[in-house]
Amino acid sequence: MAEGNQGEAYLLIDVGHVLTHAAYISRVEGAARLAAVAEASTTTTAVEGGLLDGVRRATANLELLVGRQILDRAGELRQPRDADGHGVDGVVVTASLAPLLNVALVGLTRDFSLASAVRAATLPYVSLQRAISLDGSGDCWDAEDLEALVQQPPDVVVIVGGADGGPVTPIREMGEALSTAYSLLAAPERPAIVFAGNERACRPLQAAFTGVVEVSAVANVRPSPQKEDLGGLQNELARLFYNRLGRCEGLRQLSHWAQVGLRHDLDALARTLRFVARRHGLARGVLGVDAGGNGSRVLWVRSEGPALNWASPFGLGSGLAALRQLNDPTAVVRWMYHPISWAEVWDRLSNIEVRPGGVPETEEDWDLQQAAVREALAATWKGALGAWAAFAEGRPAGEADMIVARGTTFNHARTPGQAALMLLDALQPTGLVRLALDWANLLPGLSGLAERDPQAAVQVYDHDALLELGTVVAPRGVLRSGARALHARLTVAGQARAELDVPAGSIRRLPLGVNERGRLELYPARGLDVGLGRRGRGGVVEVRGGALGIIIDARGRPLRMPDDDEARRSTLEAWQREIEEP
Amino acid sequence: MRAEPIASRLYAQTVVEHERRLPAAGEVLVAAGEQVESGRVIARCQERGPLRVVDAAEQLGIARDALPQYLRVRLGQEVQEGQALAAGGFMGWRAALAPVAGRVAGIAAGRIFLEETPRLIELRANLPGQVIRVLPGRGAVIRAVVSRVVGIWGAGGEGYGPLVLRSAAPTESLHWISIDLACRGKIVVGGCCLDKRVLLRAARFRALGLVVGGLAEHLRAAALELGLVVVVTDGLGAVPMAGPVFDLLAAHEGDEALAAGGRGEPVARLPELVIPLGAVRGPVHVAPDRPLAVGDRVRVTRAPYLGATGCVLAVVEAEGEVWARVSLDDDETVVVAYRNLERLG
Repeated sequence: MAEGNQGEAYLLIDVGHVLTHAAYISRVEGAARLAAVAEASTTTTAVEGGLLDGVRRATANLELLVGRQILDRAGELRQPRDADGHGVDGVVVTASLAPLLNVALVGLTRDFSLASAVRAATLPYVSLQRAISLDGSGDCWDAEDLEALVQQPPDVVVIVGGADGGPVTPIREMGEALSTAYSLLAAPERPAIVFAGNERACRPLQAAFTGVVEVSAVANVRPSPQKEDLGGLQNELARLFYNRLGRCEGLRQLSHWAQVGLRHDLDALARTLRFVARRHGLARGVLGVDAGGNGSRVLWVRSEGPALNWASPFGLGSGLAALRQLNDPTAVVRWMYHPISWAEVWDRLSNIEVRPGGVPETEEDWDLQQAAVREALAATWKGALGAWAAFAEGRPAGEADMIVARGTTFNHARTPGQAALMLLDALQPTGLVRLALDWANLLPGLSGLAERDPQAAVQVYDHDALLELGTVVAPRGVLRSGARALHARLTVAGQARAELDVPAGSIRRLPLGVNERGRLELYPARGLDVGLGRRGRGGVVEVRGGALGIIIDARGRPLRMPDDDEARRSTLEAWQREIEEP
Repeated sequence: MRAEPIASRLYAQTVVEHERRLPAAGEVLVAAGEQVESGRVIARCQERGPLRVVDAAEQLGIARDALPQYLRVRLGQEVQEGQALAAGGFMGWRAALAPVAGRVAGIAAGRIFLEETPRLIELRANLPGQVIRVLPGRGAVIRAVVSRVVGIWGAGGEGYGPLVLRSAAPTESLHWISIDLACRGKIVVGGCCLDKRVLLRAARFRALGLVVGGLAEHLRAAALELGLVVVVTDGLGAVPMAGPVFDLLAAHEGDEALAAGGRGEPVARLPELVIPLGAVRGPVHVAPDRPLAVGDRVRVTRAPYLGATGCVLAVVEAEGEVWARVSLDDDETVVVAYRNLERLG
């Protein structure tokens, strides 16, 4: 997409593992607005015609809604938009289908160069396969590590180590062993080698790999113990990832069709969430949550610093297999209020796993799907908190001012309350947090649109991108069920709007519409912390409304459910009911 | 939203192009245009053995760059398990031994790299038909007129042999006692499989494969572990085989077929059962993907009618969703989300 001039209409396409989403952006009285969204099943096999078939179907569905032709008779894009309003001026394509870049890190010291390399490689499109430190074995390889790097070669091996000007021998020996091992692989199977260590060791290392693979050298990630430089390595990993993306047959075809470069959806989402964090001045950042078919991802983005991501194999399609492998038969059942045996639950989930494109048709099936989302996200979140602890800079990892959820399960939930409750149960946020849905799957595409037409991207973001569910007040701590947990008073434009006592173990809502702002006075019980300094401290906070207004989640943290099955089911049912009650 | 095209899961008569591919580059033994039988070896290759790294300098207690003086083998030499690769000390009493038989593939930084003896892989056609395309160095594509059932889950690679029915009706579960020596070298067909003993007996009596409508979810791991070729056609759990699928397989009892679990190939494929038709009977039906239409035979893939089959009475597109009115085989008429339907034929 060429930069500069403003277009009249844009097409945003997001290709997921199960569904392909298309959105049509057009100008209405000078401002860019979302006109329609449509979806179709993602097609991947050659029999189905590859990814393009699904993209064309989603676009054709969009044409029905907007009453404009976007494709010509041959199924090609009509670009630019003509005088009759047919066609589009630009296209943005994002895809989560792109396989992540598998990276192995090898360093001399775990606490210095390797730690910096891990930070540099914490990118949305990188899967860190292994991080090998040679400091425990006298600066030399363990045979098992070398064997593993050959049996399952990553896409990229990053070698780091040594301050600039330091000794060369350990790096050269490391390279010689690795080079000999990789010379045994056929050339196409050999990984790319990136060196981001002692600059003096660069030439000897390149010499060690001569005739095997070319070593690309970037700036030392740890030129001295006090200094860190991650930019060079991050740029190189981005280059390698997008190079490889361009070589994936299906994605290359799609990129050629759209005449634009493809973006990985998580990379694109991180950019948009960074904008969101800055635009709203969210000091604790934004948490992006994506429950997908073959896995779930969480992304924590603050105004500054790295965008931290965590991907797990727990998903709602083929990713259900990973949930089953937890070997906990109660794993999903514990979130269900319908009395179904765990055997029946896993039979049904297995059928969803092999046919992820289906939709629930019964109350039980909805309950089952949402229970699986809770389990998948909770397991993902647990992994993310562990992985992010090192990046939290002394604050609790993952605590954000806003949570934005993506994925069909959230966007197709029958009520906003169900979407909110899934998030609250799985992530158990504390303090004051805004909840929102990327209801039209626009956020990744907006970062691409911003490169072409920043004003249009901001206008669409402001008006159409998010469905604000509301602000959650979730005290940390546990009280006896039924005891008064919190007293809350909401004032809007100087007028008292609502006032209530919230019993422990329950959820209550205060009415505050979308785009409304209010002042919320909170008086928590002595044992509870609402994030205003310490336990029992109350105060007044400015809050924004949403489809559900203000949600006071006084169920306590960590969330506790009765052990008895019947009591647990009735508790879950009560929570479902309470979040729907205005 | 428009009704999307759906691929059929059942073809009474169609043409398949069966790609057979080696896991590594090798030699192709057939030419385009040749007729091949199922057992014919069409390509072969040597699969590289795994790499073993011997830290010889460490084991001998010497400096890494001193290793060449202590070597007892040279680059490229074949070695036997337990053979001394390098030795030092008085009378050579400290030695680094080969942990496996193989070839010395590299020596660097005080280490000896051994490549285990490669394994010969022979690729059989597994389907009688005509070679229509040779994949240079990799394999070939074989074209045949067949009956075809596409499964929803599979285990194992491929097995080619005669079909034998062990259930009298599509709703009948396989009983372990019905799996006997007569199943050896055959593909066993049953309504569903809910008993692990069925799998154990099928493996023990060396059945070539198992084709069932439903398979208990917890038996999937056992099927994979046993290396058995399994094709599940309808669903996981106590799901019967769809009537039209069962009728087709019953009509071909005794005929040779290819059961493919979809996991034995370098790239995972859909599990399927393919029955070669010696002679073409009537017009060959190459059913392209298309949206469901009134009169189509369908199978429901989601609760509460999971596994039920019937005929489409109407397809309704409304409020961004697509639904179908389906007359089930038990005469009940139900409305089902379009995405929860599969075409049979």
